[in-house]
Amino acid sequence: MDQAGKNKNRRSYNVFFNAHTVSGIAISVALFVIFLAGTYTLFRNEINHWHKSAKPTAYLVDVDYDQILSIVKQEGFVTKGRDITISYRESIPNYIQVNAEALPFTLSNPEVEISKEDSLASGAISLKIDPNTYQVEALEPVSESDLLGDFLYHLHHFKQIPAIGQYLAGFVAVFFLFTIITGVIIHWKKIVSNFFTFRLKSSVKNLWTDAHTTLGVIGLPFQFMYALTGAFYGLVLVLYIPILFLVFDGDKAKMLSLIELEVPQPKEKIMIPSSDVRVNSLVSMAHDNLKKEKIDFELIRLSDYETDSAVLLVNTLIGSEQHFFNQQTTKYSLSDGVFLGQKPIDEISYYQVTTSLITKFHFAAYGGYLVKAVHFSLALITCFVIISGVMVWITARDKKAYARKSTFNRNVGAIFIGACLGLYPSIALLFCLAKLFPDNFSNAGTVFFLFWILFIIYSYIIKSPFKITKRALLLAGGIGIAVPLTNGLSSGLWFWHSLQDGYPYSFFVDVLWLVASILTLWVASKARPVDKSVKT
Amino acid sequence: MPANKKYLLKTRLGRGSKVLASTLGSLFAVLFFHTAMFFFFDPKQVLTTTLYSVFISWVLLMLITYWIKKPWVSWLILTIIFTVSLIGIYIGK
Repeated sequence: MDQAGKNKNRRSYNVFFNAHTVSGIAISVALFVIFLAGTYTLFRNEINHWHKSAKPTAYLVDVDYDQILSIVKQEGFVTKGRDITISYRESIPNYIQVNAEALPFTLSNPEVEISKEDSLASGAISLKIDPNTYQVEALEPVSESDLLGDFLYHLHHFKQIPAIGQYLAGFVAVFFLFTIITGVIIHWKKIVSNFFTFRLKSSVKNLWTDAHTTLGVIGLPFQFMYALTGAFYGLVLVLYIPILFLVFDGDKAKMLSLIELEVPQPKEKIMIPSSDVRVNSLVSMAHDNLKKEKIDFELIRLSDYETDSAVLLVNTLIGSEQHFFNQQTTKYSLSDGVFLGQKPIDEISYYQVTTSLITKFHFAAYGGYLVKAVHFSLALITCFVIISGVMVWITARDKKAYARKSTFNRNVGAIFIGACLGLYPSIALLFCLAKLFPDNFSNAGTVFFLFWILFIIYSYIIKSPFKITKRALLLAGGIGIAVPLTNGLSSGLWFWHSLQDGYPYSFFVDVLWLVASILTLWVASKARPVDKSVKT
Repeated sequence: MPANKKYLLKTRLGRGSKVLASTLGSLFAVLFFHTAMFFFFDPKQVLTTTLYSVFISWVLLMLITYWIKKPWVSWLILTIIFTVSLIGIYIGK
């Protein structure tokens, strides 16, 4: 290659390297928080059950929809002309969710003032109904952060930051995609040879570099998938705004009608006997071709309720162990009782393929606990890739040529490492607090953030990444061992008998914390500084 | 081994302009390009493809505009994509 070509190559390498370093270090802490909180979020439901010491419940298919609709009327809501969705939700305890948007004001006589009762009656509906007693639990949606698993899920997409949190997480995901691609470009020539290189005895910087590149390559497809699906969840609604206004003239219904599920029309008109034109019997008719115990989730949607164009849509989801795509949709006309068609489970449109792929990969919901365990380990590897990236950044700047900026670099390194590693003991503390004060969880969140900030300040004071890491691990191990203890002391569910008593989630969360904490303490006790001059 | 400064842009204005081009500039170019696609292909398919392609093409365009040596060339490319998309939207409407 001639000199000009070589120079060009060198320039490209350095430009991409710079882009990788700058965008990587900029998102490192946020990305670490997303991934670590995300590993817990994979087991959100289990952690919720652990938090409230609840037994796992079987899915209940027989929801009395007709009774629920009459409850909605009893609560004083106008139901005519509404689009109402009803679904059975698994939570602690399980509940039936009823939702409808507010009715548009179409007053025949605008002179008449709208009374408060009228505006409530046509306002948005959000009801939680007890599936056993059919009592309304709350007219307003209750705060979702009252459960530990949900709190970690919100931390995963920065919901605690008001208004912009989710979009911030989306931008972090986009720049994560950017660092992945630039990382592959700069590593491309050595991608195979370096995969088999791990220089443990060489310099510290080589150790971190090898860890960063090798584990980065192992996790590459996984990380690419999460960067893309994460960006989708964070930003898709914002990015659709220009399309909505330029293509559909701001008509949301017109845009949504494009992606509406197509239900194939039956060849002949099938009338339902008028005695069966009730929501309950139509729903059970809709899923009578499926085995009841296979049904995982059901959501019904009544559109234009109590009018001549009233339609009932029944979405039935079966367990994802047997089918990757698992949704069946049945359509009935409610006003004259005509069967309008059924979309079978294995017929699936392009839109559905896309959205189910995104959802299933992102939530690891395509094959039970084994898949979740794989996602869990790969997410931890990604956390390590992020940390090692920060360490490469710190060690590469820890030499004489950077003496002028050394204080700044050391401070940034200390804060970043402190923020990342401080999250682990903070989460351990959050688990303890959730058990100590199970009914007053909102304060636990505040304590969690305070503890985390204090640890970051502490890291800023002690500076050395080695010391920060070791103390964070010792703290996390120590507090982590207390997690099963607080569970046993506060609820009596000691892990040696909780499994036999029918609390598998309580058992597994306790045992995993015990094993993780012992491992953490062991690693922390073995840790020795590479630089002998650092005192431990 | 941080990147060799020799190959990076020296002026603060140049760097800032390039970062702006590669982040926000390429976002708007990609968004309007996708919007124009609605008028020439089946909107149903475009709407679904946009769900993922908008992020991939945003990041790829971000890479290209950041890699190009001169900031004004990056801006020129973005302006061309933007203008073509706007003409497309105008014809389509």
